[in-house]
Amino acid sequence: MSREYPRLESQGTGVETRLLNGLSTGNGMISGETIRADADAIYRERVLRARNTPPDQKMVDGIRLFERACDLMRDGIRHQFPNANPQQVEETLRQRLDIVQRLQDGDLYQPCPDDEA
Amino acid sequence: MNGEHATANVVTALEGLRIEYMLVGSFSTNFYGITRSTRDADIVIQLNEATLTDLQLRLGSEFKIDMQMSFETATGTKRNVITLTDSDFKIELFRLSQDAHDQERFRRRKRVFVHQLDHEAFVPTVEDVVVFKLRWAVEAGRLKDREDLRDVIAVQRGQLDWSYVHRWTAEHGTRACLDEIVRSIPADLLAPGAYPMTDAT
Repeated sequence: MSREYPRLESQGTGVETRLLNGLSTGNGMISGETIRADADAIYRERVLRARNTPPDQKMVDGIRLFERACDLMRDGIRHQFPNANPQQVEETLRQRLDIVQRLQDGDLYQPCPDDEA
Repeated sequence: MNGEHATANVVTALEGLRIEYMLVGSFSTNFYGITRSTRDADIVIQLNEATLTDLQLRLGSEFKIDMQMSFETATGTKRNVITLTDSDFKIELFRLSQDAHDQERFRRRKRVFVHQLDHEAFVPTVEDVVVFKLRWAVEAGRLKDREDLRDVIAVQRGQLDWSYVHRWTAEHGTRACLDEIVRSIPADLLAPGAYPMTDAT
């Protein structure tokens, strides 16, 4: 069954073209000002797209993006371990997700003493 | 079961047990800001006479509630984690704390219809999302909280009830962080005069 994922493609800010032009002409250096202007242009595009998306749609898209990321990670694991069975792929995926979580949260969460649980 | 169905099932089960709740975390920042990937649904609950065991019974065997609570060190809030047997998506249940803003955020929550879940659900107001996230940005120092805040304020054009927000930032000592985040937003994304900076007030 095919899944419906949120659209990710660029809506066309011209940033990519400017970057390529900057790299292919002159000394290949891009000024800090240009980078800042392009970063703002990309951000502006993301904000305007978000304003045009129903809030409840954005809420659910977060879950769908996660599921898409998991599918991509599974593909990567299968590529890295061609002989892994589906169960091993899922176990490796879970380990990697847990590493990401630990990197994000650090020691933010601690077990409660049993008498508080 | 995917994350959407899992979230809808947990919300339905909470309502069936008359447990008051609201969807927070990335669900609420995605609602008001820019979508980012989320591995979990964070839900604040106010337990009544129903217990987590009742919730487990109602959810069924596809869900597993870890009865061992943990607490987060930024605000001291306690949580239980629900995992799914066939998915890496998680649901985290945070107990409503006695913290003054936690209480007010819960009181002010609003009910919205989520078409994709075919379900109504409670979410905090945008002002309370900002107040809460600021606290995390300052106390836990996580970059993603700052990014979420920037996105929410930009998408909302800076049109929030700032007097309410500033009342809490004064109490939490988070105003400077808020000003810094607002300054990082391209000016044309904010409505003219939408945000009163500290030095202009």
